[in-house]
Amino acid sequence: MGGLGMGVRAVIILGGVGERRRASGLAFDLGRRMTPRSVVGTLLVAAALACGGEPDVAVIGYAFPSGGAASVAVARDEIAGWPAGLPIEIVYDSGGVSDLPDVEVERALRLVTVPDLVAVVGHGGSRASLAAAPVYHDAGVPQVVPTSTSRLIAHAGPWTFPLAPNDSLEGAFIADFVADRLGARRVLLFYVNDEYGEGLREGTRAGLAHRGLAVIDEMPVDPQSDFPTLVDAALLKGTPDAVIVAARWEETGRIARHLTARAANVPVVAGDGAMLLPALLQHAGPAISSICVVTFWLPDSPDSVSQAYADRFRRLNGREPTGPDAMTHDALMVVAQAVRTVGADRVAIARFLRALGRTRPPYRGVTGPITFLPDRAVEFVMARFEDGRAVRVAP
Amino acid sequence: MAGARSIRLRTILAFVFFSMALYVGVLWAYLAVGVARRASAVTARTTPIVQLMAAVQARSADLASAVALTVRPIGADSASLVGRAISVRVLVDALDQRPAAAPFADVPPEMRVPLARADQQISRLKNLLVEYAALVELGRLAEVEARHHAADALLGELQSSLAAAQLAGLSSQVEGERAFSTALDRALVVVAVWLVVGLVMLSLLAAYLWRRVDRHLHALDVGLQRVAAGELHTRLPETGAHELRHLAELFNEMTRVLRERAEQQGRFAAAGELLAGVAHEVNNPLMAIAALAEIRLGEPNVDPELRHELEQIREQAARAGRLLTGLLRFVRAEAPRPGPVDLNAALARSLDLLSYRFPLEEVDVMRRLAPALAPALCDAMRVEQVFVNLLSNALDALRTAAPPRRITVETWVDEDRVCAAIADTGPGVPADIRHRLFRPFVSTKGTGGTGLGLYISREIARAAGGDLGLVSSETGGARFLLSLPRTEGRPESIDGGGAHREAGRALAPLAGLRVLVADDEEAIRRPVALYLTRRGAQVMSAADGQAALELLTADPPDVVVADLRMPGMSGIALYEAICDRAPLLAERVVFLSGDLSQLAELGGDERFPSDRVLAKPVDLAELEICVRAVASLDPSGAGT
Repeated sequence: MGGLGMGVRAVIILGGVGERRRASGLAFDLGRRMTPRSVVGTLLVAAALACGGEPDVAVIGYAFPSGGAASVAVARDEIAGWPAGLPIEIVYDSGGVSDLPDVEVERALRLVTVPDLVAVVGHGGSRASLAAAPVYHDAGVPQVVPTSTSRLIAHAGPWTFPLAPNDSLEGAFIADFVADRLGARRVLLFYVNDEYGEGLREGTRAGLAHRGLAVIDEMPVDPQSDFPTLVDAALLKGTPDAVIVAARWEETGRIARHLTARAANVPVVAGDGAMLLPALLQHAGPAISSICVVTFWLPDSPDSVSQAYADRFRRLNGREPTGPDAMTHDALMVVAQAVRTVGADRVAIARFLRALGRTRPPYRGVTGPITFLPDRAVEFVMARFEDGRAVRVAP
Repeated sequence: MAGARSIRLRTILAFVFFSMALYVGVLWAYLAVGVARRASAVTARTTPIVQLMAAVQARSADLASAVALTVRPIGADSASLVGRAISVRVLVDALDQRPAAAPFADVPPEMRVPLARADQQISRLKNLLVEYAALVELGRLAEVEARHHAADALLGELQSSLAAAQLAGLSSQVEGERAFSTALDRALVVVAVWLVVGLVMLSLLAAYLWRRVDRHLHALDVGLQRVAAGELHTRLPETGAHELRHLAELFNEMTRVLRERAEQQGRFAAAGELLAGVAHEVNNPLMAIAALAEIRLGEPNVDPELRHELEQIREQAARAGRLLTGLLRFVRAEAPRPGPVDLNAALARSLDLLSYRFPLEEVDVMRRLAPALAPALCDAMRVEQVFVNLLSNALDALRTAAPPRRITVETWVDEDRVCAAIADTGPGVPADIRHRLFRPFVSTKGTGGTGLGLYISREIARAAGGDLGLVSSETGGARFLLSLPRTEGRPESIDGGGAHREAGRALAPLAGLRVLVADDEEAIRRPVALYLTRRGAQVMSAADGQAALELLTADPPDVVVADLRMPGMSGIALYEAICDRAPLLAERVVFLSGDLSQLAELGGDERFPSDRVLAKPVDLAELEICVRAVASLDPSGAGT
């Protein structure tokens, strides 16, 4: 591996050609969807590379559909600086950018067949993560879920490790922000109709009720929704002081765009699922200025780990890192640290992850000390967007 | 080497038990793992499929109901559509979300993709229905038809997804059942093979056990039967398993001991036979001596010194006769005849039997006999045997003791028991053999004793309903306690020579009684005839049975006194002839016999009047009493 101390090899499973590229020649294919032929090809290559007696490599599956390549690149770079040890590969299944649960279950079924797989980081949404969890449970593969906030994930099984705080805490944070910073008394709530949106909806509703705010209406949405109609119908119930969106970037952007067209100055507060740049900017258009989004980290965090990560990220990817980037990075690195400490044994890795904060010290991640304890302290940040960049609003 | 190689039977049995447990355990484990686990897996797979499908179908049905509400009825106005839209929202809002953290955890992997797709379709369908309601609320009724069609189409897709999930579930179920069926078929084959293996192993085991055990047990069985049949030289090969070899060793030791005891018993029996034969030859001279002395004593003017000597002759002859009679009774084997027994008398006879040893061995006998002792229920001869045995043991024990040596005999009544104790001042029974003292072949006399005396004595006592035990003694020696059941009735008198003589002197003369005396021994015949003549009888004498028969035919007597053993015609033949010729006279025949073994044989013959046999040496007064009795003469002299 030449100068690569830890011997990291980032592998991208490319649809159709089954091509595997080493870290030194890292390339990404985010836009191509997997076909059965491509899946078979890539898995055969992975199997061929990993065949042998004793494992000479530890493979981490990466099943995060958005922004994956950037996180993998940074993780690879950081791992390369570690002392020599068991080589770590990151298998990146790029077969489709989607958090549709059926697609993610198929992705999980592909990943668990990869030889020498020691853990998986993923998946993209709560529903997808929950749908994939039984696959990893059956295969005995630790699953670190980086950004999904559904409280159900904590109960998905002994092989599933949620990194993000749950939707109850996030809902309370949103309610506090709407009440305290926006001074809103009446809110309109849009939510995506899955475990993420439902969970955040419930958490927010509880927070709003706690603060005495009224909810004018609650509208389920998805990317295929008729947003103008839904927004118009919701506004029939009254003009809100703020609109809360428990959905992802597309729904948030389009709702904000139509709200701006109809009611002008109504602020939109979105959950962490909306934090995907530049997709959010594209969907929101000029209405981006009305949007605030919850995130778990911003590059303005002053600590040295964050700054080092942000610098490395900018250097490797040429853009600003976001909260989800930091969360996926922490997920990858904590698994890599587990491999470095206990080797390629899955049971030992799961035991290592469970021991963090108990019998082992927390892993020092970009987003803070990392444990998988229920009371892990994670900072919530409310951000808005200026010049295409997320800037801190609160706290 | 044989001992080193032999395996303990219990080891073999433990191995057999362990093997059988292992055999059954392996079969059970195979069935549990290979069949039961698969069966439970099929069941465990079915339940979550059914539950999950039922839940999803219920949600699908709710959505279908909501979609049905989006159909615009012909002629429906705006208000009715608003009402239907509100109902749609209510239905959608009330639709349950998935409650599980890992919703597809328990279903087969093949179902997860279509179920996840169905989840997504349900979400999309809910959103479409909400859009429908929004359009109605906005009054854009022209667009609701398109939403209805979209929702209807999506509902179809949802149902397709559910059908695909169901199909996947059924396929998985069929696959599971097929696997179970295959496992079951394989299990049947395996179980059959296992049973065959078990049968083969069992056969081999049985053969092995037969070789190791049954053969030896059969040999032991045959050996015991041969011993029971009297083949005391039977020996078993000392081979086989440890326990069987030990059993054979014990068997061989047992036969050795039995052989020795049999030889000993044989010598005793021969001695008894010899004694019986000698007794007859001794009893006749003894009777002759006693009778002659009696005759001479009956003469007038006998010198006092001579009278004293004659009395000594008569008494010593009588004593010798009693001793001989006692010995003969002792060695005779008869069936027990329980009845009232005076233990004092039995003790006296036993002491009498052993009396010759007391002065020789300088042993004093202290008698503490209860006066008017109640009778005990037992066989007189056997209880006498017990006493003789205990007294002999005591005498033997006292040989090693320093003088003064003493034996104490006691009798008393304890409620419903009559007890007798014999204690000595010897060294006592060693503590290490006290607990087995009454077992067969246990002796404190080394090779000098049979080791059966106490065992037989206790058996006699227990057979009579009593017991015999060793009790503590104040003197430190041995003290044996015999307890027997108390009974009522008058004890049978065995010995009464002196009383007969006294009674005979008081009798009236046998005036005119015609008595025929038949005995081949003139030394007996003559004094008997002389005595009876002096007592007033008319006596005829015959030297054998034939002569007696001729005499009584020619001149029938009132009473016949006949010796049982005579040359030519014996006393028995004479009696039979009298029975034929003069039945009335047959009732008045008195027999004399010195052969007590013959008496015992005659005791079992109902045709023979054994109660009219007098054992030699007979006191002449007793003979007179018996003659009077058969002649039915009144003791005062009046005939009947």
